Amino acid sequence: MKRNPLTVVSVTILGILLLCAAAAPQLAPRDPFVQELANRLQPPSAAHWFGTDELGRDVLSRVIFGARVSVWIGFSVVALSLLVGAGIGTLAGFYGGWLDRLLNRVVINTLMAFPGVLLALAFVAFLGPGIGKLILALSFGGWIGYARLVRGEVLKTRERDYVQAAKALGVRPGRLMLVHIWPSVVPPVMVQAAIGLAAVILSEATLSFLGLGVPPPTPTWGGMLSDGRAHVFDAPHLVVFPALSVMLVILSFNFLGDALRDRLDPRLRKELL
Amino acid sequence: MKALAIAAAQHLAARLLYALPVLFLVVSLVFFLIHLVPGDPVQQMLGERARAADVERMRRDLGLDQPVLTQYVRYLGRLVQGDLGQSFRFNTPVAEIIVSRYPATIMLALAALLVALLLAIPAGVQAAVHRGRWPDRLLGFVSLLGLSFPNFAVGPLLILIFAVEIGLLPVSGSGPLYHLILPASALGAAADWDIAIPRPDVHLILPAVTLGAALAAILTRMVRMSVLEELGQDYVRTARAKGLDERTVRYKHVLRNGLVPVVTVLGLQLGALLSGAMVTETIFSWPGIGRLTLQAINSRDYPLVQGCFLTIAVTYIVVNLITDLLYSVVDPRVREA
Repeated sequence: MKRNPLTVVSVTILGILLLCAAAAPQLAPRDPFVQELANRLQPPSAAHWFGTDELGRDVLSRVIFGARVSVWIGFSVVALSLLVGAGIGTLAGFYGGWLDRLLNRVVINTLMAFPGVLLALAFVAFLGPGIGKLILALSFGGWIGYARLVRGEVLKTRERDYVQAAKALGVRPGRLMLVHIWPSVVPPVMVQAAIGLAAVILSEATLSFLGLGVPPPTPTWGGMLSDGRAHVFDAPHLVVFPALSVMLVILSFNFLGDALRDRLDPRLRKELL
Repeated sequence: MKALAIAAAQHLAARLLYALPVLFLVVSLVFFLIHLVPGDPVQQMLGERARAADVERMRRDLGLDQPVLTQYVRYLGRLVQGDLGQSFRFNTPVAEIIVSRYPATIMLALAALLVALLLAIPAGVQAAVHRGRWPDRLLGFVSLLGLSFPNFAVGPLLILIFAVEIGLLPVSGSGPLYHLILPASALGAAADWDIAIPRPDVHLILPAVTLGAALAAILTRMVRMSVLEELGQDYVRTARAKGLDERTVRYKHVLRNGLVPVVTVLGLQLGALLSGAMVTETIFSWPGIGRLTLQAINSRDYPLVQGCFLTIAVTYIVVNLITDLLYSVVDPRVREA
């Protein structure tokens, strides 16, 4: 199988991201919270690879700890959205009828009429800042996409001969859904989840940038960018490193999503390449 | 023709009717979110050291001492009469503030859309035509890059490059340089709602590019996919066999059909555009609805927050409606159906 070098790079970057998230205290050269006011706004050097911020904190350490926040929020939101979305989508697609009309037309379409990020914004704006609240807020609008996708896939798969055969043999609905239908729903969901992770990490960074996400002093990439903006002219490294981190991670998730789609769906492979 | 117009009008009416419950839900959701959450706007307005009696009086004046349900019914009652209430902070009718800020956001969004379309249509067509060869790969990489670059990073970067290093373009639409370097948390302190609307001139370029970049990336991918699909159709072969030059085939025949799915995506992307406008407006101190919403949230200006969210929701619904109608302009088959 031909390996795309971009996929390899993406997987490597995401590997580093996960490593940073898992072992931040071991990897970070310094305590990300310790302020050395005498050393504020230092450019990158041997002592501080990524320089220091306006409170003299080590930027590299803060970027590493920031990865932890991004990963934690990203995976939690996607997991929660997926759980809710897949559940609702499966029920709507499998049973059809009034349940489908209620879930699909009423609930999903109503929520779709309002942009998801704004819903999240409204939530965090009034619930107040905090990681847990942010996860809830982002999941609130996040599950809809998965529900729609899963519903469509379940509807398609439900009519397949082998599912009909299993049904005729008396397989119970629960087993039918999990064992017979779900395996063919998983691939497109995986693609959506990879791209969804990128979107969630971006949303978190955006909200933190706007001062509505994770409150300081917890290091987050969005928050660091927001703080760094005041020094964009005299200390551009404060903007450059968190911006690069966000960009590389999102780029990698997007590449991975594309690569997954190509591999999982041979029909699309031809069209995309 | 007449039957067609009637059908279109019926379709429109049905869509409008469907929008009403959605609006009601949005209004209610935002209302209860605001009112059920701790944080006293009066305390915030009068400051920590305000006397309890003053706080109490102001709460009474603003109707905040009533039960939440009473406030809700009153709010709805005023809303159906078109009264959005009075801003706590600016002491001005909310509708007036919104009307003064709204054109700036529309201008920015349209400019961003223009930037996105100007970039995406030629790029998408070129990528599709050169499918699999280097222009396609390059454009694919660039568009993925554009998708991954958060607009809160694009903005400062563009400022750094164009306004500071090259000195080519003005940095901010309405105010001196320091505006753009204010941290987001300081926004709530700005007490200016009555800002002149910027003219559509060079000041618009950097914010429009910032806001339009991600959309351009998404659209490029869409245009490419959909042009690729069309290029394989029989009518393309017919058009070429007729001796039409390649330009006419690509842009008049293929693109017109290829744009149908793109129009749908445009409507769906509006939400991203609106939330992106919040960031972009903040970075460039653009006096639009996005920045106003953030200011209102930061100062817990309930009526203004509600007004802003309502405005955004209405915009979203109206644009989706327009998308729907555009859809039938681009593709007459939809009209027939």
